[in-house]
Amino acid sequence: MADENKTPENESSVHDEMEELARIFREELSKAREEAEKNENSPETDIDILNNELEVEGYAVTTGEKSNVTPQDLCECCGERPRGTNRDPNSPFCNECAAIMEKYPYDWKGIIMLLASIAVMFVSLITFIQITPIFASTYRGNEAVKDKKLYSALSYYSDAESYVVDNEISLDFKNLRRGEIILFDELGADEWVEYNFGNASILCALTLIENTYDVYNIHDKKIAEIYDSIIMARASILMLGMYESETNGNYDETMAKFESLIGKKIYISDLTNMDSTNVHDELDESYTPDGKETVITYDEGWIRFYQYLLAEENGKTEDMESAIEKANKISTDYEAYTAPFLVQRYLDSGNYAKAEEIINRMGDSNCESVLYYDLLSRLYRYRDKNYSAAKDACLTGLEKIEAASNNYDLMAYAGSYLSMQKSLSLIMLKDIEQAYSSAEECYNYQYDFYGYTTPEARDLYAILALATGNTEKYDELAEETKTNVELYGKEYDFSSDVYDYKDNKISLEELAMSGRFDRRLAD
Amino acid sequence: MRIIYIIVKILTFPGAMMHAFFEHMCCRICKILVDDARTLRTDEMLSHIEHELVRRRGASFDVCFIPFLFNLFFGLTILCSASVAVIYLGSYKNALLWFLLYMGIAFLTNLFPQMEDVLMLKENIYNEKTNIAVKILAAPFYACFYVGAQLERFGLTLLTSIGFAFAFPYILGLFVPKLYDVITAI
Repeated sequence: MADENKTPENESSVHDEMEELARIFREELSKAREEAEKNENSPETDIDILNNELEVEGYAVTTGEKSNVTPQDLCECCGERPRGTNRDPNSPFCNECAAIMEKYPYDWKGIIMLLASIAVMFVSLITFIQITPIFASTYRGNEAVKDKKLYSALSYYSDAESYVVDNEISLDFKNLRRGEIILFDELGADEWVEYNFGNASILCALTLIENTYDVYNIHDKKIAEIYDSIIMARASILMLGMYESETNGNYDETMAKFESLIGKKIYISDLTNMDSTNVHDELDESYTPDGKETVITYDEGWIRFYQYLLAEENGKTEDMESAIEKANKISTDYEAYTAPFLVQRYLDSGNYAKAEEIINRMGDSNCESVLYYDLLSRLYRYRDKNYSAAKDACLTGLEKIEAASNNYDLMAYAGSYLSMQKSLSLIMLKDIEQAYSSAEECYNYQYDFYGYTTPEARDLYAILALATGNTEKYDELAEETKTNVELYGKEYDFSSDVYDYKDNKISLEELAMSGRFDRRLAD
Repeated sequence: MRIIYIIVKILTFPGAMMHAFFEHMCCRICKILVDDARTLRTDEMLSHIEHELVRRRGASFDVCFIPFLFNLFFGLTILCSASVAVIYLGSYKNALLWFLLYMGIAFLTNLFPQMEDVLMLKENIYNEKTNIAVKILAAPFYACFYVGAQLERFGLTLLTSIGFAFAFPYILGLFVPKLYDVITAI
């Protein structure tokens, strides 16, 4: 092997070495002959003389017949001593050369590289230890997104973000941010906004996504699509404000103006840089076409969605349903926001197949969706009259949310809706004590999450307080109606349901199935 | 192909030098005679050293396995942080991480022994004198070395190591998060 790899330079040096050894050999041989001539009685041959000298120097002699020793029997390296070592008699080297070759000194360049590599390895390990928590959380987040466990994913991404901030790690983790943006998109506007901002404006959420996009400069097709949809949303929000102000809040006029915009263009260059919290102030400037080059077509889906919002604001349920159905034909992006209303409409009208279709779609997109379990519970209660399954759906939802995240806000958000549904199912199961506990949970969760309670949560709590004979709690809640002015800015009394129940005009079961307590805040 | 092989070796010279160094270290441990132990050179022996044919079975295995093992260890430990941070988490602006990525790939490109050593291993193991159990145990190693040495001859180990750098975070993801949980629980 070594022979095959010899370069011409190596061969030349070996040749010179061999020549030098041959010269030494000849000199030694001449000396030996001279000594032999001096001693006429000596029977030794040339080889005997050489062997005797080698023996004196302490080298092993492995040659065979004295008369058969040739230069080919000598060490390939030094050419002086016979071949063969103690370990390997067939070795082409002598003992001494073999000993030197066995301990061939290390190349200093290799030693330097070894030390450098060890240093690099330690740097790498320290870096790895530093980023392991971020990697572990991001990896789990990505896996959770694949499994459609979106709240688990949100929790993992939040852990990763917190670690980056807490440890002041200056690295930019673009793929972590990319994962977050895609997750926000998957979660949908409603759930994501509520989770992150309570009941804050959708504008804040959209601005956050947009800032993430700008700051981390993440450019890929998926993110670009999400970004475009944000721009569309922004345009639509501006549009809503503009037409409300133009028409002085005239419902029919505004709806007609919305309709007329479908297929038209909008200038968007200013929209991307606009402070979204001051929509109305910047409205006129944004719509001035001078100097604007970038135009997009109004997104029909968003127009329909805002028609729905306008109809909701004006209590036009027929228009709400019509707008949602048109919007959902274009995209299901708005479904998370509109599903509670639409599903309840289908349940009320007995169109259970359509309701189930929407509910299943929500479960498929996020198996930890609060909305999914909320609506599933309603479906079991209204369609199947299976109150036990309805209660279990709520319990499953609460368990999944609890397992997904240790974030109390999320738990409070889930509890706000699922405890209400659980309480209604327990009423139908005639377990009034447990129903009261669930209503209490719902009431407390709403306070924790929103800072106030909805009239529905308060009324159900009051009714169940009466049902369980807890008049003290009822009085306390009645007192609260006079002092709690946070929600509407004025006193708000119990609804007629509470008084009807108090006067025995309506039963608990009738109340539970009336749909009165199935409203969500967004409805 | 020879020129591609040499270019790949030169491009990944840190790993090549260390492979030669570990091969030399192994030769010294196994008392294998070394003809030339330069670690940095610009011919096809870059990443290897010139040594005598190895007649002993154990030494023949060691001379293939020990440099492989050491380069693998260095390669994986250096690559773990870089592939996770750059490839998985997307930290593209940090020069140190890119350097670590290069070093890791350089080490993993130079894992395998030269073909002559692999053939010598085959000759030493797959003969009449060797126990059948040893032959079976050595088979996966021999197959790995043989395939690796063949890939290395065409410079393809550079591509395989780059591919591995992309796959590595997903392999780490199978156990690192669980390991992290265990450690933090302690």
